[in-house]
Amino acid sequence: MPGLLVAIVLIASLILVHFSIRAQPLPPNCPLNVDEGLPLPEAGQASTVFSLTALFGAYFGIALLLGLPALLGLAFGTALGFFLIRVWIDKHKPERFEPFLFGLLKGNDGNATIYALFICGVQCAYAASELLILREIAKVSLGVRADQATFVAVGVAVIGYFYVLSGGYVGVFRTDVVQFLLVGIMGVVFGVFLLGHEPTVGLSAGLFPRPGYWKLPGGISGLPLYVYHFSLATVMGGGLLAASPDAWKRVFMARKKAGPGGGRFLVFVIVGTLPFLMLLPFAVAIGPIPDGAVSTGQIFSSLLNGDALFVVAALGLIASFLSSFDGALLASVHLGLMLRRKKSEQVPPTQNEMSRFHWLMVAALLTVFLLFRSLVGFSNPYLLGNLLLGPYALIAGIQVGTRGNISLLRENSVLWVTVLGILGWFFYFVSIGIPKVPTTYQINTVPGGVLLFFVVAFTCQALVYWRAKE
Amino acid sequence: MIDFFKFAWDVIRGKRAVERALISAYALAPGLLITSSLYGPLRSSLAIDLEKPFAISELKTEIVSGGQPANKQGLILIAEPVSSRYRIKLNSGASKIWTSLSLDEVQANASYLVLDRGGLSNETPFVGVGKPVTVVIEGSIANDVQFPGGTERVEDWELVSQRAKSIVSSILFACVFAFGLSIPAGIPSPDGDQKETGEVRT
Repeated sequence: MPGLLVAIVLIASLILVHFSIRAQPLPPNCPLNVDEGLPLPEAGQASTVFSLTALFGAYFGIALLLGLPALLGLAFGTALGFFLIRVWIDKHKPERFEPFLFGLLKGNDGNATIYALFICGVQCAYAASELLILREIAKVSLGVRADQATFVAVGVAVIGYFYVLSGGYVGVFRTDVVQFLLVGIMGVVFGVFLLGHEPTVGLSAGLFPRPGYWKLPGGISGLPLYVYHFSLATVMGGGLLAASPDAWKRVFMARKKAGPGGGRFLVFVIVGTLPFLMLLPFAVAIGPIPDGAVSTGQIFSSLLNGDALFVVAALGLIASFLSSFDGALLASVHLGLMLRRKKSEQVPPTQNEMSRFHWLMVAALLTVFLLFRSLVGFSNPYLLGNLLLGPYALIAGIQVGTRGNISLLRENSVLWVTVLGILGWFFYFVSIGIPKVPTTYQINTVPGGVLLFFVVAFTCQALVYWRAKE
Repeated sequence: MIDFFKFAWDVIRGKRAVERALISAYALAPGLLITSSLYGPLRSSLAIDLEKPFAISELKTEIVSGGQPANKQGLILIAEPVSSRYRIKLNSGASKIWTSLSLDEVQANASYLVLDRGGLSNETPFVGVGKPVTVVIEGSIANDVQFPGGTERVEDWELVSQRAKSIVSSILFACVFAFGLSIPAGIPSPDGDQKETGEVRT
């Protein structure tokens, strides 16, 4: 029965994409230049947050270990990120998203190439880390054997790939609505289930941070510590959006649908930040997890006793995976297309770009798969996701430091900033110890990521300033 | 895997660039992923569950009527009637096993089901037996299962729940459906191709 329901939902989504694309085929000249017929950008954004919560466990871990101050910071940072991206888009006043995305690569070729390839690589790595984590969750939470879990992860990824390949943005946005419903049902069902149980920890203990995480020098505690946690989480929440082209597209669509009134944009912001606030009751109900090595399976094992809960969890996890995976895959391919278009100096494109789109899809899928295959034997499936904190901070720093305009930088500056940033992050990561198994202390890499963001942002700002003076 | 690449080369050889891109995106790349996950180069027997020659479940406690539960190590092996040879290594030598075979069947399969101090060697299918055979073994299992030409981890052979199996089957079914739905939509027929280009191939 659980399998049948999962199959029905996945097949129904495929049929939805199939009929959507028959009514609105991809334009052959620019297959991803589609802003029409994309419903509810809020749904995709909320599903992505759920993915970072339920699948990655990053936001859920923050809720469990750091409580209300950090959670409020994440929500505030995300809302702030939405508004800043909107301001960035408003500055360019683009009619469509594609020219706006193409504008990211204006300026000299060297900077544009490195920047586009770096973002594409990070998006592919993000998709690979989602695959690794889905495999782990299938293994430890859904009880699937290791070899079968590999197939489950790859199979779901292939289904997501077909959504993107056949439907482009139309496929992704429409299936996002279905996926949002599924993750929403998962949230509500588990919320009701947990409310029926006695919380294992008092409300006040769940609201406040545990010692040992995101420490201030000198052991400062109380209000200054809460403000510090709030600030770090604000930068983390906002930075993630600043570095995610799929989030830019959703903000663009929300802005477009909102029109001059802006009420709809507010709805987008509220729906996009609501999942963070839903986390707190979950964190209080589940109670404290021990410091150190952590198993997602142990945390959720008591929740998956009944068949109904199992189905809801399986569908919710697959849906949240698909939402993030498709977003990352599509963002990577779209940016790749823009880079090729810049190199061929055909703006707007005069020739059919479908073949290029198909080859880029193949390249992105194989890149994700090879990364997944090479890391699948490692005992900590969360390591890649944790490592990606640095590259995300780097991209966010470049975005903020240049106000989203890398043409203000000298030639090849992006190369040096990227190489030095990655090296700095790598040495920092190695210095604190590479965790061989998933551990609660991985959360302590966030302050390092935030520091990297500020260093890169100030460096880029300084480079822009010096170039302007010359 | 080499066969797959040969097949892929045969499929795209002589095709136009547009067709090569379409075939690669809609069939070859996703096909490679699925094939690699089912029969990947890293594992020799990563097949869908129905083809697995056996499953293992560890036993950990003994409950005696009226008494307290106590730790007792053992394992259950369910051997499918498919062609396979393997040896399950045990940490401590087991002195006895308990099987679902009749006495006649055990005698007929004396060389197919062998218990020694280091483990249990099996060669299936058993002579005269067309059903799965259950074997209960006392003793703790080692980390590996040995096959001709290789060793695999025990955890890859553990018994899984029916609902977990059903998830795997559903994903496989949805993948097949995705291929079936997308390939005709994505890959143009030769007729359509001729209409589009206006050329007729001879």
